[in-house]
Amino acid sequence: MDSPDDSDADLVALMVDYQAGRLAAFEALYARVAGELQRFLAAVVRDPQVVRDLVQETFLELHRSRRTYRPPLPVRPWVFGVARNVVRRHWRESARRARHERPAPAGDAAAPAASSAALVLDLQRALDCLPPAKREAWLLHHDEGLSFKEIARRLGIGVDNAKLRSSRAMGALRALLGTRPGGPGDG
Amino acid sequence: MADARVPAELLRAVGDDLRPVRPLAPPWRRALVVAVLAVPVLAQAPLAYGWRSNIARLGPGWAWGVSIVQALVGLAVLVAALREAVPGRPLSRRALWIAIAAASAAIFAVTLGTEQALPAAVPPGVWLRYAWECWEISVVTALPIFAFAAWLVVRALPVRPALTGALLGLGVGVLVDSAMRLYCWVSAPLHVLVSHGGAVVTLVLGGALVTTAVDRWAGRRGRQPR
Repeated sequence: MDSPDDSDADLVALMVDYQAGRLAAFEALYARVAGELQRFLAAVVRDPQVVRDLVQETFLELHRSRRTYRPPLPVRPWVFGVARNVVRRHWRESARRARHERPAPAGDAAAPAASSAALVLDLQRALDCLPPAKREAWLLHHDEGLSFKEIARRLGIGVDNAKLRSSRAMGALRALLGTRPGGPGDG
Repeated sequence: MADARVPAELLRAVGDDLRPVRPLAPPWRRALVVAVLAVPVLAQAPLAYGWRSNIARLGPGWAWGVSIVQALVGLAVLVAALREAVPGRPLSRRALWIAIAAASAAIFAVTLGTEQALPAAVPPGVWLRYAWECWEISVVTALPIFAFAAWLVVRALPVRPALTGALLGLGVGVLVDSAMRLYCWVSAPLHVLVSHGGAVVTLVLGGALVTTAVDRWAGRRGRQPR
């Protein structure tokens, strides 16, 4: 895998070729960023099948909006910006579908989950309550293990802003889960 | 790790639609296009209804000079909105606050400064009518500029559509108000802030609503507006 900052110049050249209408450039771009995109999407969506769908949807959206990329700006923030748009729409559509779904009858309830599974579920629900920007920063740092510098580059924001988002997400999670500071640190 | 090969279906979809595209112009150049459109549109109000009756007493500095400065602030906010509209180019929190503060400061400073330079109150009995007229003319004048700028914003695929739209409305509002003050002869802060400022607020809210609505519509159709 390429390190996040190794070859933005190559990616810029690929995007220029892609905008010029070369299919090989799209294939090369896919090969270069699909893995990173998949990890990013997996960190914020979880369901592997949905992640695969969203990777494809993101590349379709990248294709439709390829003119919005302006060389020689870094490619990754643009790619991940488009991916965030795709995820945002996915969440909105999921929420809309959930509102229209009928609740399952009480008799269909699954057997009580193990406490660790319940905790994961609680965390997932708490994460779902966070604003997308904070959730992304927290997941990228705590789940994907990216440094704040890497998160900043990926999301196209400042390092301080990445720290702030993650820190505020942690505070909100603690409040939602009813835990006191002193648990897993945020830094 | 994802497979490095493009799935056949995706490759076919991209290949079928692949043609050269011209990259988006920088935000300042797109804002310049808005400015070119704005000049004849903004000239409509004073040309149709007449220049403010006390423009000679106000002097060229307070009339034209201040309006030009205010228009430049509006364009700067518009540049910020057009930059924010492109994925991967989000404005920092500080830049956002600077844009909002600059726009607000421009409106307040121009209003209070003009009142100091040449006080002119609303005649008794017509306060509401004047307020309504100025609000209406401001919003109607802004519509073509707003529509064009909104089209530029939504086609750039904003990640934060409501924020981007609000910023767009703010920029257009400040820009339009810079021309409205050449038409409306009243300088009483209450009239200017409620009526002209109300039009700016309307455009801010309208921008947020329009860009959000277009974003949702495009999301449901599974594609971006062209």
